[in-house]
Amino acid sequence: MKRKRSFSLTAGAVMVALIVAMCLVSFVWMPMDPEKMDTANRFALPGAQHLLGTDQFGRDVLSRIMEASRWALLVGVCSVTAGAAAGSAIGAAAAMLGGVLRSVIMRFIDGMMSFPGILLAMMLVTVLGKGILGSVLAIGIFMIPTFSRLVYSMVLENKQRLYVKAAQSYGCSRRRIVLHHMLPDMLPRLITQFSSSIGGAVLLESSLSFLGLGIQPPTPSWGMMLSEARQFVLSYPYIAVAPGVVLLITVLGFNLLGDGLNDRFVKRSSR
Amino acid sequence: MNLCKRLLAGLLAAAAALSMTACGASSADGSSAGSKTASASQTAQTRTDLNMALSVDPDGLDPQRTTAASTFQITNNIYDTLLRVNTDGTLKEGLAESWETSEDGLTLTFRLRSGVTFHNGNPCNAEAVVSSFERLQAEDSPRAADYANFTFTAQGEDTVVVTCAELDVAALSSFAYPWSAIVDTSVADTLKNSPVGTGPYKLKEWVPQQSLTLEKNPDYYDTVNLETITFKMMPDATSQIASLRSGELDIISVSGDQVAAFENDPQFNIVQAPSNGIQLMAMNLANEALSDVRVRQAINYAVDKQSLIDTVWWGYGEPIGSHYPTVLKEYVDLNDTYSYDPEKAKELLAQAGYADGLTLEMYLPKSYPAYVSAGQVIADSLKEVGITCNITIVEWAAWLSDVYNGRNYDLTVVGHTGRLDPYVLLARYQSDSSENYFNYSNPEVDELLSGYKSEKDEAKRTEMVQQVEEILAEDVPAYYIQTPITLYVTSSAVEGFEIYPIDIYEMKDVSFAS
Repeated sequence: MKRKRSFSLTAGAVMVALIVAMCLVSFVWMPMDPEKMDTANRFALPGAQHLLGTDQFGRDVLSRIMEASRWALLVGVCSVTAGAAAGSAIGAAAAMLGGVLRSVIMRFIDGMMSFPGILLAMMLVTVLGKGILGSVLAIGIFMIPTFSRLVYSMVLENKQRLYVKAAQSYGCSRRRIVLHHMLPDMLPRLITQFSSSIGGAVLLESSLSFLGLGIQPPTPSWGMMLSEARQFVLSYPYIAVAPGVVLLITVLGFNLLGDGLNDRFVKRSSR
Repeated sequence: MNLCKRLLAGLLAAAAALSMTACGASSADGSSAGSKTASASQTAQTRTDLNMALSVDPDGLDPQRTTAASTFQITNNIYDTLLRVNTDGTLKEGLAESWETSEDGLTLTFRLRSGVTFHNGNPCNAEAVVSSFERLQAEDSPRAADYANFTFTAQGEDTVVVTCAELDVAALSSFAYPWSAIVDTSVADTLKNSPVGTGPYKLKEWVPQQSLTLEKNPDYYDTVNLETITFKMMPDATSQIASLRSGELDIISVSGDQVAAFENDPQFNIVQAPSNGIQLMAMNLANEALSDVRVRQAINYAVDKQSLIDTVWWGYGEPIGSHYPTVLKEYVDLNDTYSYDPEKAKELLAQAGYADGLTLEMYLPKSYPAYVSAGQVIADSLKEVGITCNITIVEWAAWLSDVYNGRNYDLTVVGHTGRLDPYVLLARYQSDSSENYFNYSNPEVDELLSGYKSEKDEAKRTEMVQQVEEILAEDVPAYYIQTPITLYVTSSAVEGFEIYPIDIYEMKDVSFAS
């Protein structure tokens, strides 16, 4: 069957490219120093000098959004990578081991999944400490169950396939079977999940920063910018708009990209 | 289809992000329409019901078993104290009609008003007053230590004699604080939820986390203007403002940025007064760098105080140069001791051996957005002279245990509320004080403060306090910022709402213009 060009893949890719481009540009150029206060110029309206206006300390909002994109992507990518690696290893191990150990591991993963995301992340941050490292670890741990369950089910499914039985019959180790034989088949779905998870991770990081548990000032973060803007939402509503929209584009972008990839690779390969 | 699901998830995420900013505004609008029409129909006659916002639900209505300022704001209207406070901090008669202090200052005699009864009809005589104070001195009272110095005896129906074990020159003010309220001890166990006092108002209804309604005590000895007062719990500032505008509330407390919207609006009055308190950035002298007075001076030189107050408090504050609020009579203006001069700051840092810079840990209490902002502005100024601040925002409970009690910090921004007597404000600078979270130690200050309590000559006491103020302004164990200005906005019909130097509302004096 010939598929039409996927709308979500294109839209998602464009949005993600936009954010990544903004992040890359921030290393080379930013309109102003994002942490430099200019108290004489507070709450400036968007205009020629400050494209998106200034915040309550007179800092340039565009520059802050640009710098914050680095941290959002860093935390998003690192935490999902860590969560995916650990989660996949746990899931694969459980599926290959079988027996009591499998039940114990998977029930534990189920237990983790039953916690609401933000609650689990808040608990972890309290234990692991605030700041960027704490956020990465907390969100990474939060990502483990999703990937464990995914890999667990895929490994179980593949275990019944003939090519695995063949590999077993000529004496491959379990690790070799998973890494060399199963992984290529599982990769598309993992990539799909990876992309969607980044959107969730970015949103979770923003939530933590919004609550004051994530990135600490003066380093900017979108969630923190929203939380600061909230104090002035009656007098200066516009300063909350820009970080909100950027966060929206990022999360929507990664979700659409994940969906597009899913349509492109996973569905086609399974049909 | 999967696409739809993904789109929906993305949009939900976006909605969540946006609602983070919008959640404040939305909750207020629900019930406003009804009360607006009600107030419109009553314009012909003067209103006697007032609505006021409270940010926190009181933790019970027993004034002798709480330490929460928000609770005293309400209980002060249900209970009476022997003495009451004027807006300038001087004392006037309350439940006691007159009072005398003996020659040696050790005996206080209060003459009570006759014929006063509690809300439940029990007589409030000398015996009841003594019993009430004995409950305040009991072991489970948070103020027991403050009143341990006093012995109470009843003489006849209407005289209470207080004997002090040690001379305390501030003894009289102890009988004006809201926690010294006279309660009916025969119902002591239920005071928390059914308060019984002698005050101008009695409790009508209390729906926890929603509202608390007081109604007029018809037997009160003084004029009480309003029939009912309803305190509505509304933690969010934006919803309070929306409710004031819709007429659902008559009085709210606002911050400096919000007040601008009400200026020059004939529908509203702004009530403002400098509060009896100070805000500062404390420094921990246990830190090696901060133990050097030159580094502390450099920090004081490095920050532009007026610009800080303008940025964070929108100019609603009076700059200070020492640990003393501008409203008390012993205040000395020491603002010029180290005025803004970043070059001088760099010089001093270089002299102290920190020419290459210095890194300090700054902790800011999350519950106070103004302190969090102030910390960031100060950190930005300090960066200019080479001091890097690592900021951590902490929960209030963590701040109290780690920073204030644990003294595990370098810099922190916080406020201190004043009392009627200067000693309480300054006592924390004694070397061995448990509240000396600066780890400050100066024998001269220790001597002045220990001498203060037994000095009977008021002029000399004032001099001693002023000396301490001057030493602190020189030594700067903190960066003293300002005495904040308290701001309230009322609808223009509200009259008689005033701000007191202790954290109370005096609702009996409030009325509506006809």
